[in-house]
Amino acid sequence: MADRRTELLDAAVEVVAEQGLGGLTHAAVDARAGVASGSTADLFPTGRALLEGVTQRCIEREMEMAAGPHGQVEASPEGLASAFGAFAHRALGEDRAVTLARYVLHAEAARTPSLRAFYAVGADEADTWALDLVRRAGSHHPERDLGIMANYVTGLVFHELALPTPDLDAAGRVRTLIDALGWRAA
Amino acid sequence: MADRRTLLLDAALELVGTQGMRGLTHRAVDTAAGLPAGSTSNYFRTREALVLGIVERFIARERAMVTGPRDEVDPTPGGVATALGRYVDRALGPDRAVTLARYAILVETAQNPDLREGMAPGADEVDTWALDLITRGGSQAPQRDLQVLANYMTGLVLHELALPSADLDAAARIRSVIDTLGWTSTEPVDPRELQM
Repeated sequence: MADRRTELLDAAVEVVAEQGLGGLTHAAVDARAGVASGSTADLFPTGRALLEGVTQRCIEREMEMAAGPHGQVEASPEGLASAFGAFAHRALGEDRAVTLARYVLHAEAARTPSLRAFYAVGADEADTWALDLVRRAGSHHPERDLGIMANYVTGLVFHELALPTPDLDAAGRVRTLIDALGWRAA
Repeated sequence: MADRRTLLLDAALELVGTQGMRGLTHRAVDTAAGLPAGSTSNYFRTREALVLGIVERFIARERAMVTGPRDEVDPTPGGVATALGRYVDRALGPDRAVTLARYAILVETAQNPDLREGMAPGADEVDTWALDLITRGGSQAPQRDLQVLANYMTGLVLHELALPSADLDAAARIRSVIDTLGWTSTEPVDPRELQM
């Protein structure tokens, strides 16, 4: 059972995905979550606190989309291809709202630099975790390769959202990329 | 001198980039372009026609961001890296409105599948052009490399927009991806590029 914070923020992610930041109000989140009026304002007293919460929740959800509920990814080319592939499929399917909300939040951070700090916190944590995995999976240039892979998957999801490929094999595509990066065999 | 249709579409792109799709009305485009009320409606009768026009203009602007004003790219790994780096620099700088419009259009497309049909021909045209460029640049696996580079650049722009790097050298980053992909080059090697 999700706790109240998670429940409200997941509702807020849906609101942002559907209506943009213009639609993100405490009342809209209460309504979407089906909770008593004022619930969202109790936990997130200001609009800024709510925005920070949604941003952090998107990062948490993205971690789970890649690593599954237990945060386990096998440190091998195959394991990472599966994880990034699973991420892409969820980002395009059941977790589409997270993807759309992310574009909205990124665009807002581009316009409002003070929001970037919200992103930096969660992003550093995710980077450290992923960097270790990529290194253990056989990369000779973990920083470079993680940068290439992360940008690749972000771009893949973006393009597929607009113009979907029938029967997309995201894990296979990521595996092709990893092979091009020349990791040593485990 | 841009024709009136292009002028309207550039104004519409700016508008979408700054205010999102919600801000897109015929009247708002008239105002943004500094033209009399009704001008946009004369060229684009429906909202859908206007959105399709914006998509078409958006694709033309993106291509110009790669090629620069002379519409040419040096067909070597270094030339392609320079051109694609220029695209990234422009997408984050002077053509930021185009980038922001791209996200707004994408979100709209994801929610409105009819728009996909309007986007597909333009996307195919860009692919054909880019595939030719990449092949001439020295790629041994053009389909694969086009995908890698296109996705990489989109991700890089999206990421840098929200969390900018202090001294981003986009052309050098793209060059390192190209080198990873093993393009054959007749260029002399620059020793600085070996220090990765």
